Amino acid sequence: MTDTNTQNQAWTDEALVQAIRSGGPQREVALQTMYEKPGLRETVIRLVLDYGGQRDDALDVFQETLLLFDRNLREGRFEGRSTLATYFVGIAKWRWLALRRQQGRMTELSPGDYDGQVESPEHEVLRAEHRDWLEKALGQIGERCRQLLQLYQLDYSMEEITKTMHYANADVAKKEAYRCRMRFRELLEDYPAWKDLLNLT
Amino acid sequence: MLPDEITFYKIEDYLRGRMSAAERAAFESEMAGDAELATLVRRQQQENQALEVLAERHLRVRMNTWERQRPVTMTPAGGRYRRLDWMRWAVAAMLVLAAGWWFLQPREKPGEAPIAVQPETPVTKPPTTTVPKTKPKTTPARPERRSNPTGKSPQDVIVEAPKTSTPPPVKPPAKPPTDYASLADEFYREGDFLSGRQARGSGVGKSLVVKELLAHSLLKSRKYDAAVTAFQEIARSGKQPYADRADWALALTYLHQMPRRSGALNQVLQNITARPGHTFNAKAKALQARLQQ
Repeated sequence: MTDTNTQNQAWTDEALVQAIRSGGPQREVALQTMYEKPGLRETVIRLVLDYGGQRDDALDVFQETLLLFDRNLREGRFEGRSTLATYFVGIAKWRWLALRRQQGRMTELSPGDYDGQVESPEHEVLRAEHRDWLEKALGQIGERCRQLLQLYQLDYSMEEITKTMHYANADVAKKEAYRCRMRFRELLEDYPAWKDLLNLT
Repeated sequence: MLPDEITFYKIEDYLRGRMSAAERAAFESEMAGDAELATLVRRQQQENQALEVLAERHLRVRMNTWERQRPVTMTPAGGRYRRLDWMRWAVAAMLVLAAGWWFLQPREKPGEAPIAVQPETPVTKPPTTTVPKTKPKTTPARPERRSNPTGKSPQDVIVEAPKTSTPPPVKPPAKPPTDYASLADEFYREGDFLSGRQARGSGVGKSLVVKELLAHSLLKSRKYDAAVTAFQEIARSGKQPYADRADWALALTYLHQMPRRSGALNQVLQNITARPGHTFNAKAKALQARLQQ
């Protein structure tokens, strides 16, 4: 949650992957490093422009790519067959072509467009189609619970959560995280679409 | 069906890869024999994926912050690119307008001191002595220039008016030295030098007009070396009428730098006078004549 000066630290690909996978504050610093990596943004912009996009599209794609990049790394989808920058640009290309396909402007799209596995279909469905009711459920658990679950989801340790959210100790934070999570589960049960999804998978 | 806290965190350890290989194998074995546990694991995994919304939301907020923190000059992308482009164009437009405005200002009336050689305003009252009648007619209000024993460029050597009320008597020179700057200004002021400036055609032409305005701006600012470079670039383009005008402007710029640039000046004048069709052929010949006087 800090605005660390990412330029002061030399990052190898390995260190970046490790930081993102381990979560917590280091993940944020690593992602900021990728976000500000010299030339990366420009490459994505050129790619989008080359494939018929506009500059506004390019920044959107760049940010969407970082979201996918972060998720893929945390879920272990990066297989290390290329550099992180190449992987990032590959995701950007895949993302832009997918957007173009959704807009009916292009049909060509191959999973091989980037190095790594394509996002799972159910994940994509959850993320896109069911986002509204997920947001509603999260809105009902309260701000503090939402912040706690967010930090937990980002792999902050219980000690870091305790410090950030001023709990008495890590055990209290852990109990509170469990309580919030169960509250979230109960709210999800109220949504028929969630039950359907569970039965389908 | 809700898991107890211990089971919940055990499943979390499994899903988030926080188990050792042995623990993982044991847990998977346990799942294989316990359908209820397997269901809990699957549900918890779905919830974790759903909670990615929070991770995404967090990262979006952070990206917006990083975007705001980025220096404009180091973020040539997306909206920032657009902003940079807009700024570049705005700066370019302001430069062109400023140069155009400056260029369209009325020229100095004869008798006024040319801009390029304005002396500093004396702190005390000017001397009451009369100006010697032998002073060159072309520079009635200019400070007198004389030979340069210090080795400085001639335009830097200006005899300032004495500040005391009893100046030493001024001896009229036997022959007034050539005032190159005045000569350059005189030729520069002549109207036909500007003819054809309104001719604007393709993008290349417009670009040359901009370069030309900036080059003249440099000349007026007494940045002669930079002006020389700018005029040479235009002259090399070969595009008319810009190239001919640049040749002539180059000659006048060298004239300001005399006698240091006499070789370059002679070369440019020879190039112009060798081409009867050159727009400034006659002017160059006239200048040569004046220089030989």
